[in-house]
Amino acid sequence: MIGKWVKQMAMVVISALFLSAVFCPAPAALALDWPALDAGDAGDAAFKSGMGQTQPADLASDPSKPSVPAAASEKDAAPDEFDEFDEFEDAVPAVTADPLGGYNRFMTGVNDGLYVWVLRPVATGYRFIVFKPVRLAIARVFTNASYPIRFVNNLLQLKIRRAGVETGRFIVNTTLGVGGLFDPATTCMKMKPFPEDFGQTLGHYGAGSGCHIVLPLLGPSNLRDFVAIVPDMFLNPVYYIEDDWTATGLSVGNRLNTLSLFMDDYDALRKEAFDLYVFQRDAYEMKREKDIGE
Amino acid sequence: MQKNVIDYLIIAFTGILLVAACPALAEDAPAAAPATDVPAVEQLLKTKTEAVLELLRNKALDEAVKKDRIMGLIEPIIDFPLMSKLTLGKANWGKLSPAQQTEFVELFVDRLKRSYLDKTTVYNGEKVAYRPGVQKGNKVNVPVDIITNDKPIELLYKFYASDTGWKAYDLEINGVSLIKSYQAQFTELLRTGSPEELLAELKKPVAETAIPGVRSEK
Repeated sequence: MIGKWVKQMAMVVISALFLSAVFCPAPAALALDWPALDAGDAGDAAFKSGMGQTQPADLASDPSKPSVPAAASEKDAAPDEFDEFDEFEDAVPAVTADPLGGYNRFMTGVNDGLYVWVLRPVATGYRFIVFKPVRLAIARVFTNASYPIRFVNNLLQLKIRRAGVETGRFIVNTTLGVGGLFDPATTCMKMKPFPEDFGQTLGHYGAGSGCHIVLPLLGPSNLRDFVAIVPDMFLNPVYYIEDDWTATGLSVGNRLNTLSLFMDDYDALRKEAFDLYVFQRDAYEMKREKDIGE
Repeated sequence: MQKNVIDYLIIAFTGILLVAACPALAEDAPAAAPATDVPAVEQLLKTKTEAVLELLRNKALDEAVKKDRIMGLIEPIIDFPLMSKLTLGKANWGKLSPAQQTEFVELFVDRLKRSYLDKTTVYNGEKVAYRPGVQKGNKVNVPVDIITNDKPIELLYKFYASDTGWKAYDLEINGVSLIKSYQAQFTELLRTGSPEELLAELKKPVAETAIPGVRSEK
């Protein structure tokens, strides 16, 4: 029993590595020296003096400043664009403080290196061998099989109707959809999925994200979602497969399959980001906030 | 956990699409808007999106011409300069000299446009589902779903009433705001470096940071 536990945990870590590698970029070197320069308040004063000179294009498109001549150093009390669009002033939740920032950056670098040198080549080979429709079907099977996670977490949040819809989807996709290979519930019956996990359940009842944590292999997470891995693991049917090697193989296979489907997106993201760690961190937290709110 | 990762990847993908599909009535200035602007904005977004998709489906058209026409369609309804300014953010804006501000906006507008156009090339006939918009003051948010093989990508176009009609000033992809996600990165860059370094970063060709030998599936 203990042995099984250890192997399962190893499996989780290995598979986590697969996926997390997908998440993390930024050279590890960045983690090492990270001077806490606080580019303080010089900003605000300069901000005000700079305002008169915004480029014409900018002014032209701003409804609050109909046609301010760019030349004048006017100190109008005209409302500023930044005030009109103040929704961007609030930091992303859980990101204002980043106590593990140094470690997170380092781990992001590790994961990214792993992605570039190990996971990506492996997934590329796999992608070459297996047709995309097949890979999509495999992904659907795993999604279908993880129904207990969605069902239980919907119930825990008292989202009874959604739990019912998920049950209906599971029944339809398991039977008509041939064990989940296809998704007739969505395509034919317009039954939308309602994915929920334990992290969302905790968030639903008011748990904050704690702080951001980049997990080895698994990538961006936070204290709340990290803790939530465990209950969801027990709801994942793969956990109950007797043969450890089969279970491990399935988990790793699932992650490899997923990676092969999203590789291009990740590559594009990796290319566009100025600071991959910061981008991944904020995107993760924003996405989780949205999921919890739904 | 694995679900999160998948979500993350979807975010990445959507992020790419995000700069793309904004529509708006170019010369239809609604000005300050009571709760009746929503249909106009929805219609604007739809018209523009459909026009862009039409171009994308046209396989006969030369790529360069196509990109040109797409930009011609969307430029009137996306406020790229405002987006650039908002992305840098109030606190960071003042750290740049006026000349640097101008340069920043030029560079970032360029990047946003290029990024948008790059993303359109991955379009592969996915269907788009329009959902009802929501008005908040002089702003209208319109959600749009891109129906993919997997789960839909949820876009949220945020429009405001400019002097020259409705214009988009942000795009959310699966809940991730384009502006917010770039903003944090710029803040980080400026925390540890100078405005000159920020501008230098923006001037770097995107390809330079790519993985060598990357070849996409399509």
